[in-house]
Amino acid sequence: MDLLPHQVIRYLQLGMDQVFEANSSWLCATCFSCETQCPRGIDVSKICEAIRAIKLRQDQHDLKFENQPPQMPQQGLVSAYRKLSAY
Amino acid sequence: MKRVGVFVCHCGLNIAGTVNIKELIEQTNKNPDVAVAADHRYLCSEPGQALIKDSIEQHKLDAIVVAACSPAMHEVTFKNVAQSSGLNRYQCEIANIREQCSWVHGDSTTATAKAHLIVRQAVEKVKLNESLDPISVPVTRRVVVVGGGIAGIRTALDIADSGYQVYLVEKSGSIGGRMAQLSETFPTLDCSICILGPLMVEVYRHPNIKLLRLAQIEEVRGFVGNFKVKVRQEAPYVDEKKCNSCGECTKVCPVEVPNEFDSGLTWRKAIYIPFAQAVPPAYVLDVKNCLGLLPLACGECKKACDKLGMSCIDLDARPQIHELEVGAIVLATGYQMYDASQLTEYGYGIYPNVMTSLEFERMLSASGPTSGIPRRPSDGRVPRDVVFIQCAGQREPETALPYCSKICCMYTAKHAMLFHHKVPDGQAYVFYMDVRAGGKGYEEFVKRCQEEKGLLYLRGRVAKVYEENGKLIVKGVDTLSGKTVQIPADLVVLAVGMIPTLGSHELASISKASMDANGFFAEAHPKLRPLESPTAGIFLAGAGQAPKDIPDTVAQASGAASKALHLMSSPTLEREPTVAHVTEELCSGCRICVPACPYEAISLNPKTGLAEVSEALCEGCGTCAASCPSGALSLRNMTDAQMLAMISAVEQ
Amino acid sequence: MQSYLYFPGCTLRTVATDFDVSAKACAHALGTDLKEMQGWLCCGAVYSNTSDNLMTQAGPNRILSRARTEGNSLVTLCAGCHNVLKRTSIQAKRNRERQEKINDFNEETFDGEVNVFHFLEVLRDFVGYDTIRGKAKAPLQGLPVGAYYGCLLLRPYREMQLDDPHRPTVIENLLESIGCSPVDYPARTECCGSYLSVPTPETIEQVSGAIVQSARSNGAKVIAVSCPLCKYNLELSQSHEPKPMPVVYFTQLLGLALGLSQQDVGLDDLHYQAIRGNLQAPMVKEA
Repeated sequence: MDLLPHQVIRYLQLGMDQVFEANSSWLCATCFSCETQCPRGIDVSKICEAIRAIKLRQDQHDLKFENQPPQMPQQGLVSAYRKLSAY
Repeated sequence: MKRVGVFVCHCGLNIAGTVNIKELIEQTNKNPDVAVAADHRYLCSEPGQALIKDSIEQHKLDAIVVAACSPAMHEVTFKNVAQSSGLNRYQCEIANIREQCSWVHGDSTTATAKAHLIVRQAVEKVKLNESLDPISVPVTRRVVVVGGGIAGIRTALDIADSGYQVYLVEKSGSIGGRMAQLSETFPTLDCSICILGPLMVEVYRHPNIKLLRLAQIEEVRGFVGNFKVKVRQEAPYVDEKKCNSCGECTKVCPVEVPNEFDSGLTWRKAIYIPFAQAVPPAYVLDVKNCLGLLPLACGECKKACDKLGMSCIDLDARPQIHELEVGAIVLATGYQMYDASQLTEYGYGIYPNVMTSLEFERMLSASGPTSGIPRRPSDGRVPRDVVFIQCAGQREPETALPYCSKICCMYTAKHAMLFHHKVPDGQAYVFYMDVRAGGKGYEEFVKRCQEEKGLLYLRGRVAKVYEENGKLIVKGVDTLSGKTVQIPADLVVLAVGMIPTLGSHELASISKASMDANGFFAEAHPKLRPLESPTAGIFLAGAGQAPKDIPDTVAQASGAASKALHLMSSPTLEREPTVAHVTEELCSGCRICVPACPYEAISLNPKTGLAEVSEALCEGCGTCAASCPSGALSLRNMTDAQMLAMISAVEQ
Repeated sequence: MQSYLYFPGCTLRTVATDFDVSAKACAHALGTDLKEMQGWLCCGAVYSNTSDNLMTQAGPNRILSRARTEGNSLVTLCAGCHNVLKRTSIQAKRNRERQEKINDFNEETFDGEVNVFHFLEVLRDFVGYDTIRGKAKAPLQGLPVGAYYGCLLLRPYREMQLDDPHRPTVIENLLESIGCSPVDYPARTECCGSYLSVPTPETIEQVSGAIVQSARSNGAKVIAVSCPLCKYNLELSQSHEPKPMPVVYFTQLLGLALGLSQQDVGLDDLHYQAIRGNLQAPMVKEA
């Protein structure tokens, strides 16, 4: 991860656009560990989704579908496409 | 016809910024009841007050209405002006056109119209106001202080030294509170019990202080200057005058329970002395954990004591009820630690080597479970790597306590440093978010700790603690370097938050002292009145009001004492006469009002069979007046006639 | 016989039929029935956060409005489906303005009246562990199994509310009632990597691999899951492993303990033998 979750938030607070180029939001697995732990209840996975959506709406995304693992459950395929390419 | 004068305050721009004062004066002058209407930039100032005084004289006014800020601010000021101008002080009414008008509305036209109505209402009310005299009540010149920690001790000594009788009510078997449990105090690293001990002894020896241990408040009745406090004192079963702390009774007791003084790290018997320097210097029987007295199940302690010819133990003792009459009550009940087992990510209660700060403090103490050597609870080994987690379960509005407990940054620095002194080749890691060191000498102390070899401060929180191969793996982060951190620790110490002492909720209910959202006793004003409860006659001292350190506690305790002394400085107290009264011709003796009164101020006169109000007890709440079906009960200067007139004034 | 309205989800109908089959068989053995709801469709696999694009909410809301016609509870098995449907149901009640737009679009109304349960909750709260213990004819004596929760069952905690998000015990309690010796290991609530196996399978090797390693080093011989994607990822991370840790669905273990056969619970020989081989005592009854 280029930026740690708290740095993603900090970059956004300070208006630092590098956060949109970092790979952090693309590595988010939406596991919600952040939101469960955060004393202020901040959902960083939601923020990451917003960052991805902004990039996707600008037609810029990072998803490569080259070597897909065999016999992947469609749950995984649908989740991946929806989280990483849909907006 | 009463001649009423209306005085409108600009309050700088607070009122004049929204309300059109000129128009308000014009509208007010149209009212035939108003003899004169005038305005001023700051009515509460000397020139402002002088304007009112002069107008009263010049226009021969019988009553005044001051249209300004909330009566909570300056009602007394303007009542004093009225009085010094020769009017009865109750012929002064405040029309709040600030908090209830200019401060909550933006549009000038509507705000001005509303201000006009507020003023009209006040005029209608003051027209029917009676001239009243304050009610004088005697003041009982004794004080009860609840809680025998450093706050209660300081308050009690200050009041007792000034010559007044104090009852110090302490729940446990000894005074001393949390400070007695501490090893050393920051920033001076004084030995805590060494500086506290002499004060405890002074309390015990003081002719003006009556110490009631094992005692709790059961009931509070009455009002400021005249409280009747019922205290229930459990039997100690040991005569504190005879006991010489020889300890023979404890040796033969078969019961073992966790020792509260050592935060549960050691065991004590059912008959025990709370700690070595306990005051009163006597043993006490924990009857809840004793095998039983009725019928007598054991009795070994008494046998042992009698054998020595001491006969200090009386197993037939009974609890005592004390009915105390006092003028003031000081609540100094202190704090307890937040339950760390709620913080499931840290594993407290699951892994024995995860402790709370207070447990670690006990361990550092020379009188503690390990004679001052830090040891791992699991195997007794001396830990090499100790992780201190600050803000544990605090500053977490979503998951635990929302507030900061103020002292943890300081005591954690102290703990880390003391650990390093005792284990020179040990390594302490402190996970912090901020370091709050605002007191005198505090910043210097923390810097000293941070610069010590063997202490590493890491800025970030800990996500998880789990056990692996006998070590506690601490997963955290250092945000300053931007790296996640994993430390295999021997011991983890959680700086958990301070919460109000168990039972303070009930005490607040019994004494009618208010509590804030976090369960601490509420102060009358957070800035200007931090040691008075909104309930008159009840004062607050120490961490029971809010988390704080020892210097602030002692300062507040002396302050609370001074407030109590002020209350008792004159033999009588004046109470507001705007109380309920009974129009006997209308009363049918139905008694609906009697249980309605929250202050038990109404009773039925046995001779007349009619309701009777004790003016001294009445707080003027009006509940009885509302409940009376025949209108016999009414509040002086807030009668039905006045209220209807005020309502009509708005309707027009 | 108590019947529970059930939502299988698409994965349980295709790649993970063993989960579906074993759950239904368990329900039957416990004297209940998982009755499939009418007209179900794919839930969308994840709960979307974009508030200005409500298309993602259409599917789950439709599922729940159809479930509503058959009852006011819905039981799920797949952790992904559970997460989506439960959160959809909660948001439908909380965010009325948004819900009106969704109902309008769907032309099927749902207003949050359906309570979504996971099968684990049914077993804990409605069937009860005592009943299960009583019906476990062939308890899996001492099987050292590591329960793996993953993310979506427990989090976000405020909505899912299944168990403590840091130290849950619901699966371990179930496994204990059927004779197993569940193993506590620190990574049991860490993420398996979820959908990252699509763009970056190497991430899975890292994160799922760490989970398997954690389970193994704490003595687990089998991992029990409640999600087809978790199972897939945990197995994917071991694809180069000569002796991989078998990963099974908790319902398969439950089924065996209730006296069902290997075929009944959809276990292949490899996994079945792995379970048998790690029991402390032979299975008392074999169907």
